[in-house]
Amino acid sequence: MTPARYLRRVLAAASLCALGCATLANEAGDSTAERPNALAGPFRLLRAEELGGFEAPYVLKKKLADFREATVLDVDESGALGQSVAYAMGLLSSKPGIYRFVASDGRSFDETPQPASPVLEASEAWEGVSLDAPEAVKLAGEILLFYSAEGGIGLARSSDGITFTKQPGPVLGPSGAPWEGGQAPRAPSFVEVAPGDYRLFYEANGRIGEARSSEGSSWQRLGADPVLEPAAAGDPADPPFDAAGVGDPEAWQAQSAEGRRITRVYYTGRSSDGQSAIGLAARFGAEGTLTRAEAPAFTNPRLPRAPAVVPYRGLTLLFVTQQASASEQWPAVAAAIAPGNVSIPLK
Amino acid sequence: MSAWRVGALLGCAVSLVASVGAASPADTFGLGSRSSSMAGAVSADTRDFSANYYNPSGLALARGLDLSVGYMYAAHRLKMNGADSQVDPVRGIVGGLVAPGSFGFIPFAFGIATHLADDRLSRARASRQEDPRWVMYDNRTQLLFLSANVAVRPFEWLSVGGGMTYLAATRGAFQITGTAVLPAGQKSEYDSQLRHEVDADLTSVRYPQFGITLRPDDRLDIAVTYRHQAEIRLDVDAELAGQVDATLLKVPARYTLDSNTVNAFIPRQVVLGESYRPVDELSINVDVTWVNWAAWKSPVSRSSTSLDVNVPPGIIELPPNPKPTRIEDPDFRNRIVPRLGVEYRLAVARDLKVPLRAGYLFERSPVPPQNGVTNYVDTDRHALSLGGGFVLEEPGAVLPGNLRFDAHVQWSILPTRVTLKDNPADYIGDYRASGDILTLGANVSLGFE
Repeated sequence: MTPARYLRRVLAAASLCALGCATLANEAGDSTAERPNALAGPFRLLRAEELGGFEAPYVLKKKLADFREATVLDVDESGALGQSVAYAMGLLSSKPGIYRFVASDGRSFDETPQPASPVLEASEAWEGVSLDAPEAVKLAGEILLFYSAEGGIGLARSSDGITFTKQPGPVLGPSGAPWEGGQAPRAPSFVEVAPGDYRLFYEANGRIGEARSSEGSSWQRLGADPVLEPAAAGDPADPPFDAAGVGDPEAWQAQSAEGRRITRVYYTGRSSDGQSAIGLAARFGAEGTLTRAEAPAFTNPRLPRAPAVVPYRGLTLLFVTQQASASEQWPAVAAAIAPGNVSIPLK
Repeated sequence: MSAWRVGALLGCAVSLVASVGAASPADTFGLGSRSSSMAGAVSADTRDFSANYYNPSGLALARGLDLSVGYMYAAHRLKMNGADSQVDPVRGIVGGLVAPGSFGFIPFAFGIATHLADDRLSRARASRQEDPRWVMYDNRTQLLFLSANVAVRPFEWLSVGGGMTYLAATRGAFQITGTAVLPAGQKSEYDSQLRHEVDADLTSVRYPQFGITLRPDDRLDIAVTYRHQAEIRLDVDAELAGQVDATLLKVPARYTLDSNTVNAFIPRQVVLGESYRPVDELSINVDVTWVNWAAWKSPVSRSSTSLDVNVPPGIIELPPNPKPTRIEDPDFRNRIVPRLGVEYRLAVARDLKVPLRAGYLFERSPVPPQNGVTNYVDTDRHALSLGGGFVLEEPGAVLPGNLRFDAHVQWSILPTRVTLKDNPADYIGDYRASGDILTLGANVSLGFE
């Protein structure tokens, strides 16, 4: 065989081998891929396999105890679901007040409060008969517990999260601002927008306002207008979910994937037909009015309200107060998660 | 029977069954190793099976029956915010034939070409406009391509050709009747008695293409190609009619769903190309393609649902009927895509040639900034191609023509594109997208003269 003929045969054989390189099929692979997500919603309710010992999606539910308006602290601040403390309104042993609950996984709270008695209850004349809408934050080694009362927003401090000392008088009382309609501010939400620059969002007259403080206990209102008002009426056939009122703010300082600082405020939106849902409004940076998200962050026929948000690494938990069931009107605290495709099964 | 008649009969047979599917990964990755290695700049320089895509009139320039078969593989490494988007690879068998002959004194040719994916014939996927997706790569390239064309060469300096490309579309309906049990007491949802009926069709969508090749000079060919647009739809109608069993009462229920989706859109294209041969061994090709992306149809499902159940309040908690999606105008922009290809045919021996090829193309993304609600992810694309092979003239008595082997590699670079959302309350937020695509392929061709 001549070299040229040998070369031709080798090349011909190699060509034919190339024909047989087809491979077998596989499954479509991108359905579980990680996609950009601001971890801000929309939320889905937790499932039974994601909650220990509870009637999912509820994390605090007890008839006649009326657990409601929870605020949740990530105690270890590791970024992973871990030790958490919830402060929620309740009525146990005929004692209304703010109770403390603990969870080791960020959401499965023990329904027996620790301690058994309220950590805070109405005791001052300006507070009226009961407290409402607590907001717990950690600041400079202390736990600050803001709360609503008849005369406005109060503040209590604690070093251990159990024994609180109230600051005398409201830290934010009624004002003459026309949009507040003479009502006492309620439902405080604290956020640190920069070192030494603290903000308190609050509800008054179905709107949300903002106050500023440099040390957390003395607050001055910002601007003459609310930062969030009820939505315009819009299409009568498809009215906004928050056209009748907005309240229960829950503020959170976040950062976009490109490093832009964002102030997010979750809120209860109420419609004229008596329904409610959890909305999200936000702004870039620390100043200015809030812009609504395109859609509610959480909807549910059980009239959710009073959102509390806890961000973790790769997910965000939302705690809301809503009806205990389709046929039971008493309140309970339910938990939801975003993004909705993330699952947190119990270990 | 002459070779072209065999080819024509085979082609006609394929045309009759072609309604089973088709479309265009060729738009993105090219068709055939020779053409792909020159970045697709071959509209004025194609006479093998790839002419069915690049310019049907090139079929009439073939010197004899030509059969090709090969394989291509495209691996995506596309990322959003640094995380792999896991876009599936595109891979499949490519091939086709050209069967030239004559009608009297007029040269005539018939050709067919296919890209037959070896893991799926087509993918149907409807997603929300808010969901970030690589809109140009996750569905559009997951299609079966089948094109059949004819060409004539009435004058030495003129060839014209045209034909049809076939796409697959899906239309279906399913109906569920019976009783759905709500879990309570001793009953569970598994006690439901439901009957299912499914009726699905894989239908065809066709679009035409035409091409002209002019040869004003022995060393210059000029071509114009037109490819029409096509859309592949996914239409689903569903109905659930029956009873909901809530233990204490049974409630008649009816749920209907109508969903219409444009699963893939192939834009209209006009290509102007030239091939210049300054010496016999060298071809320098340039193509410019106008792509009518402005006509792009959003892949978002247009759905309407209706749940009709009358139950006393508090007994069963039913979700409200979802509001119809307000689909944003995608507002894609028309684009001009330049392509450059070079081929040098090195004569190693009297009957052995080694062609060496290179190419480059640039596709500016037609997708506008996604700073609103939608998240159609895309970036510009620079594609660099290299290829080579060999041509054996008259390799044996059974093949009085040539045996050709061609291989190519193409590296597509997708530079980073940053999306900054206007609304700080956007649920997706800011992101950046980037990546690259590596494409490999090889063909074996048999040319009969």
